[in-house]
Amino acid sequence: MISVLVVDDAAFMRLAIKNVLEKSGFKVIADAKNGEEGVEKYLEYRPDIVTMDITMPDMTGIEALKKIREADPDAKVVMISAMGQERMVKEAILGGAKSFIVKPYKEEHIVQTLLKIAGAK
Amino acid sequence: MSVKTSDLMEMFVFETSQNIKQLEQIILNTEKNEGFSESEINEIFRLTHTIKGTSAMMSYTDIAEVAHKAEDLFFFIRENPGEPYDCFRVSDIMLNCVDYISGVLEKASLGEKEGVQKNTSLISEIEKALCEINSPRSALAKRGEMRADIKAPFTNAFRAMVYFDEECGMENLRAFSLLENMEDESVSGYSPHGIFDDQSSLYIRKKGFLICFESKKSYGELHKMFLSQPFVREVDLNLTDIEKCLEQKRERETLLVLEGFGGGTAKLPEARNHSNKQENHNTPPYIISLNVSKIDKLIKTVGEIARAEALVAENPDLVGLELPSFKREANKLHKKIAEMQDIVTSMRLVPLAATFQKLHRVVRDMSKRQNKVISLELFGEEIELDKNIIEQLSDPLMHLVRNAVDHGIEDSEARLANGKERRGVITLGAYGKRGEVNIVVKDDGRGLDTKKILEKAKQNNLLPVSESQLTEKEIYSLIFLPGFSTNESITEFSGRGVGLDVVTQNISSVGGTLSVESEKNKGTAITIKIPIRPVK
Repeated sequence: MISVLVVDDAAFMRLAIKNVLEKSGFKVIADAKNGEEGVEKYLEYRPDIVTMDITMPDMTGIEALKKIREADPDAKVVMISAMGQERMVKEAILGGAKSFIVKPYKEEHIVQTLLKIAGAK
Repeated sequence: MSVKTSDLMEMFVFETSQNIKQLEQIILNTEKNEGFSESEINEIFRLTHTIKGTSAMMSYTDIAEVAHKAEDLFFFIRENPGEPYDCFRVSDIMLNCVDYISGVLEKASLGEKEGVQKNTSLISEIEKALCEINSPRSALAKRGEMRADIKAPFTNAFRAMVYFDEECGMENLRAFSLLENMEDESVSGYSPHGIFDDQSSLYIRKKGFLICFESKKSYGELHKMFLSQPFVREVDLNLTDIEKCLEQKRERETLLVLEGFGGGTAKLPEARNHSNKQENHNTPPYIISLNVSKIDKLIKTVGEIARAEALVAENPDLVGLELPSFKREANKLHKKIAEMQDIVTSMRLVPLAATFQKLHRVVRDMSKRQNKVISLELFGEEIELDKNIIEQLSDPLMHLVRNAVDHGIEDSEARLANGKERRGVITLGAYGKRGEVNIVVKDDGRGLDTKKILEKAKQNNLLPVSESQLTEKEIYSLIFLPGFSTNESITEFSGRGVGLDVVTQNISSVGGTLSVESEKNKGTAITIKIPIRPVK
């Protein structure tokens, strides 16, 4: 089973993503409400995939992404972005994000993306 | 309709030989200029790439491997302008490749595939040269990822049109992400270029995203790789020629190497219209190659038509008849047939260029070996002669040019001592004159020695009259007599193993004649006069 860490400052989003994923057979092993916590939880749980919101207080998703990739160059992080955040998405890709999902997303987008990312070596 | 393997083979040998000749020509040219120009490097790269591809397809893996190594070498040179390398060494290696490949082709054309020696020494020589140029401080090493597969087996060029899922959003950044994930592939270009532009997002959504790249992965692996990317809905993957990609890159500046990211000068690419703009002057599209036997058949048939026409127009049954309109039409027919005969005969005419140009290599190799500095100058290469004559001329010209290098041109010290330039010049040229063509082989060497010639002629009992009755010119002509030169290479003018009388024989077999002019210390000129059409 593919294990996932969900990082998002909005409790609603964490729940929404968790619902979609567990419905589709993923295991959400942890969630985090900001970047810093995200990095900590990553190191603690070593999930297969992380979904990472881009805009979060304190430590942004991009900073967290970089920290995680520093600690584990093989880390698979998928960014969750809002429309109009092209510049930050670009930065995230350069920072090693495997893919990104644009809000508002369709459930299948998340599921398919995570399946593909998990399947890729 | 299926193509016979033998036809394919013939085509392969023909085409590859052409490519090899072209390659040799370019290399010899670059030596004169002591360096490779950008267009020459591109051309060499293109040629080696083509040779590699076709020979691999015909399972001449030995040729393919050598060509592949050569391609790698020039890929490196092309991608690293400014990186120093020994161009003479490179051209030596390339000429060795040319020789090796022509050797294999020659065997192939005789139907032999056995006995082809894998040329490991040549391959390792190229590899060594590549290693030397590719020193650690080189740009390639710094960039590392640019072409990690430089030593890898065959790399193929691909063109992928990628379509993303509808509603996936930020298609431009999907494209960017895709490029980022293609770390094993060497991307040569993509379109639209301005992928950080909102408009490009729309464009990609509707038209797809085009990537040109090279990869050593198989088609299947690559196809799978694309589809494994998030939000990739469909990919249209094609094997292409790398040249095509490069051409696109050149033609539209929308294709840039990866590092060129970030420029905001995004434009939607215009519809691709690289309509067969054939810049390649070496293979003009209006030339086809034909089997000579077909032309000969045609010539024969046209001759028969002409005879039949005469029999009809001057048929005895017509005698005494008043047939004005028949005669008028018959006359027209006669003219047309005569015209046709001219055209058909001209189809057998071939320019001298190829025959002349291959002597560049002879002069280069010989003078290098003998430590002489000689340049070969050509003129009148465009003059055309019947193919048979051209074939008959090839050996004699080779012989005469070799003689000029061997015995005509002095070594550098002797030349300087005689107040001449260090560089000797051999001129090979052709000019037309009243239905005949004159071909002249001239050197600015030491000239013929009448004394030695007379001595030799006397030894061999070749003097027709006493020597006092001979003019200087007649003395010179003695060298063409059969039996004048022997197989030993002792006289001033004997060639390498065979005498000049072989030249005489070949030339007279096509109805030509030879004449010599010479002046001591100034040089020698041998002129061959030949009729434009073959003697039947």
